[in-house]
Amino acid sequence: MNAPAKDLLTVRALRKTFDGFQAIRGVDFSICHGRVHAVIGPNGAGKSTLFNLITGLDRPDEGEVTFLGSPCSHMSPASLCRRGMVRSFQKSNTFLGLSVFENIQAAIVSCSGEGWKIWPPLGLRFADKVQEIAEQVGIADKLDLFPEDLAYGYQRQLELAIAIASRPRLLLLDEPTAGMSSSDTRRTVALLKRIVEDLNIVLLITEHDMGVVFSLADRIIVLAEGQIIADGNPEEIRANTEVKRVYLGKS
Amino acid sequence: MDVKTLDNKRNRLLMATALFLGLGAVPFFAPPFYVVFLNDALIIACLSMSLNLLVGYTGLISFGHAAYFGLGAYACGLLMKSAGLPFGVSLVAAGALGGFGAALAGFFCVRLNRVYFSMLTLAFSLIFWAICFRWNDLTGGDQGLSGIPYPNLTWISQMLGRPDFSSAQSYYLVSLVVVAICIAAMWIIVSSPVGLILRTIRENEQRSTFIGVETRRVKLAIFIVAGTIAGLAGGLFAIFNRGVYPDFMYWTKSAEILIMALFGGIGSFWGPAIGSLTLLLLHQETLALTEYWSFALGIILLVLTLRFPSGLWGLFKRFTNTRRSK
Repeated sequence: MNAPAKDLLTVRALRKTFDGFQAIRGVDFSICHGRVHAVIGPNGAGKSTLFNLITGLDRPDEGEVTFLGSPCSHMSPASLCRRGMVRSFQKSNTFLGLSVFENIQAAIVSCSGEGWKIWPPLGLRFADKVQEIAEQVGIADKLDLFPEDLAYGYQRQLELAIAIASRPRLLLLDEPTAGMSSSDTRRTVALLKRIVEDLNIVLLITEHDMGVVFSLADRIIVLAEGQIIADGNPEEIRANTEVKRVYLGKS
Repeated sequence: MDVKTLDNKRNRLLMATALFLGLGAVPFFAPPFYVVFLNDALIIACLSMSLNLLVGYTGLISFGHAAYFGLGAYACGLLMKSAGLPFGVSLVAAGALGGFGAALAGFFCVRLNRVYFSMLTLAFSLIFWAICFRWNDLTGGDQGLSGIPYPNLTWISQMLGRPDFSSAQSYYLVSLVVVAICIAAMWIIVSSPVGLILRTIRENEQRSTFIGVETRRVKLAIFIVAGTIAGLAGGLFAIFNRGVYPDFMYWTKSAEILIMALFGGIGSFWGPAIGSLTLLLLHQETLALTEYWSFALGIILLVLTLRFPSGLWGLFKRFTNTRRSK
């Protein structure tokens, strides 16, 4: 039932200017099949801006984003999240004063439509689900801790757990391995592969680490100076001379 | 984990019930002076606890909470004195006006964050204050509204078989019940799913929107709830005090409640109540010794902020055990 829907996400003629700087100038692509899509590009290419435009954090100047067939440029991040578009952030971004358990529980509460209930008391409701999600991302033994007690790699896994708890159909991860050690990176790549399989969700990531991109993505969109310069499977991207020139050659 | 949590819950409920019964017993043996003092403390504790819904649980630092207390006080006072309505109706109206004022101000305030939110709450409280201060015909202006009649509470003393109870003693029991209901409502809210959502907003509002929370709506809702409870407290206080004056809703009053909440500890449910009780006691005691209450208050605040930022409750917790309470 949850097979990747046709045209899960469509981005059409998207433009965004900040103080005269054209961060995104005419981006078109759509996601209809495939599992893991990656947006790559040099620093300042507009990857994070593109993410912010898609997830409703910023409004585009021109163009349109369509999610599951309905235009969503005017929707709030919250309503997009409830429709199944969930994102994580480049920097670890969790609820620091809540326990790991509560971090995950809050996302479940919110996305199961119980966020407005004042009765009955919450207590340990959803404990099974929290446990299940924590096991999926490998932090099941850390539920009683607080995010700041976790090592950096585990904080990112908690971030992922919060995202999964929101029951995504499309999950956008902004540099999921940024700042990680190589062993954490390997673990995260394996984890993401497994989650995509197990939960049957579509992943859209931005990533700096080419190793991660080529081992994870089955489609790569290359962004440079706010425009798409290449879009294809990893082999095509590897062979593309334009990409080599602006990006791969540099790194 | 499960059993312990359940036990904790039952213990807390038992303790709260014991506290309620203990406070209810006070007028039966304590001299009237203490009854009056406790009545004041109960109402103010309820008020600062309602502020804590915003400050402690949602991370919204309101500098204008006294405005809704004042609105409630005027509503109750005017309806009883000028319109001659019964106390019960007037009190409900006090809560309603507090909530309505909070909805009006909150609609704008929740659009802003951090210090801008605080400034806007302050601005609205000054506007509400100015209206009540200037509307001579209705509110009595700077003279205030005095001589509000006590409701007829002889049925309480009769029911309890204590015909010797004064109105003040009976009224204390009424206050206690109303405050207990308000506190129970607040307890239900903070331990519900909504309570957890409020705390996600406190911790990281942007992240909260990305788990699907319409943060503005939630903030407005809790602002209205806090305003309603403040209005009810104001209604109680108007009768207790037998008068309503504009400084009930002046910004210094808002600061006073905020100080009480911080003093007791905004990181906990009961902290603000303990803060208000302690400060009222200290106020009373220092008044007997010195005229320099503000000076004493300043020193207390200084020590507390520098040495014990989690307030009296935090201090108490450190003595009893070291586990995190929230």
